[in-house]
Amino acid sequence: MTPQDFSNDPDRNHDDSIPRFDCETAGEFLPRYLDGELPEHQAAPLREHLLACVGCRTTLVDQRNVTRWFQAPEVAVPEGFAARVARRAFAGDPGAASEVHRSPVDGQSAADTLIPAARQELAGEPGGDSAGVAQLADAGRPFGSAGSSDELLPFVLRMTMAAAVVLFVASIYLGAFTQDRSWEVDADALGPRPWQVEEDTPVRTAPVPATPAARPDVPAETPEGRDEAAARRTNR
Amino acid sequence: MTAHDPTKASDPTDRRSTERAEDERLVAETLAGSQVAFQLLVERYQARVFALVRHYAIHAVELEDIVQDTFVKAFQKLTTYRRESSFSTWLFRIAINTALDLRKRAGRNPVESVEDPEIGVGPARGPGLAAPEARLETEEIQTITYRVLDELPDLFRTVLVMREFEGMGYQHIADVLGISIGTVESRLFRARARFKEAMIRLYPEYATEG
Repeated sequence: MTPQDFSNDPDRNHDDSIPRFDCETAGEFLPRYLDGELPEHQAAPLREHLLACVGCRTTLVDQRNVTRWFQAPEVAVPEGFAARVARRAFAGDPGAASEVHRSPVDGQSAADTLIPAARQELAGEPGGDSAGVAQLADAGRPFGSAGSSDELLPFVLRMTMAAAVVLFVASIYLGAFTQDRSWEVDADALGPRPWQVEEDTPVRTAPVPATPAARPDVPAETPEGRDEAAARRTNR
Repeated sequence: MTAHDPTKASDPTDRRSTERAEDERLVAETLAGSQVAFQLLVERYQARVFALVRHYAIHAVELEDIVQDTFVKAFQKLTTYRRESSFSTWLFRIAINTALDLRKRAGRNPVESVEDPEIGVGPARGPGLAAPEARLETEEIQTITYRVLDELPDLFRTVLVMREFEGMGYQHIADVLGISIGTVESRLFRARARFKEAMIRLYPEYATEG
């Protein structure tokens, strides 16, 4: 069905005084009229027809109202998008195209620094004569630019791995060192401490069971327990 | 290089030819291995491609993925660009296909067999469609419009997006979609009719007396 077929529909509210031919012609012209693409020599007779034909006028109003529902939101292009896409395209990694925006490295390549000059020259502004786009071809070759992020990334990764290995070895060494307790001073050799209770001082009026197991209310690792163990070691 | 600012060209025809010449030069430089030239090409068209395909994405990450895929595909196929159409036309075609492929893969809008001209097109019978009320915020209008657009087959959705959202001319739409101007006209006409039907079905409060 073409647009003019709509105007042939018997259900349409046509004005009988208007020839059917006019409605067909109007149907052909309505879309371009609505979109402002109809030349004036065709738009003028169409306007006359619309004045007389309720059906075609209703169709036009409906279609025009549809266009009013379309209000495009603002476009926001992520910063550095073009540079990232260009680098990815030249890196020849199409499978990772959808990963470009997630790339954590966004270093400046040598080519990036030349972009402003090329852009300036494209705009025809003076001062862009430092390097034309043609002259930039060499600088922009995929793997030829020294210091590009494509080369920087492996370097950073290698350095990170080396640092991780050094830290690992150092932690092992230090860990082994702290395991060796031979250098520790025997706390008992320091003599009685002010806060330490004398062995023969009765600290409890109630009898103390022989083992912690017999006294579930006293944990094995109490200061008293530790003192008793130290006393036993001294006696030995 | 003797390029001048295309925006300073007074004649639209001159401006288009200048833009096209610059595109051709950047394409040639890209093919010669210049990453800079390709970056400039991306910069020239990124905003328009973002604008075109945002109507097919459901969130920002997906939108960026589609645009990235579009440019990477364009780069990979650059040797096949025959210069029979403008670079922008060729690029937009890739963008539309990429967006539609994604929707198809995601199982969105599986309606495809709508080429039958008798389907979904009706005369202006029944209630009419009101324009958006002035009280509605732009975001509310956009929410309603996208909800209605989701009801339409991609065939109609695409011409509505290109014409109504992006303001593309009939010839440009025809070139991008590879169809005649007459087909663009009729498809757009039917797409609007389908939009109105879906709108009234989903939001009967916007129906008016026929």
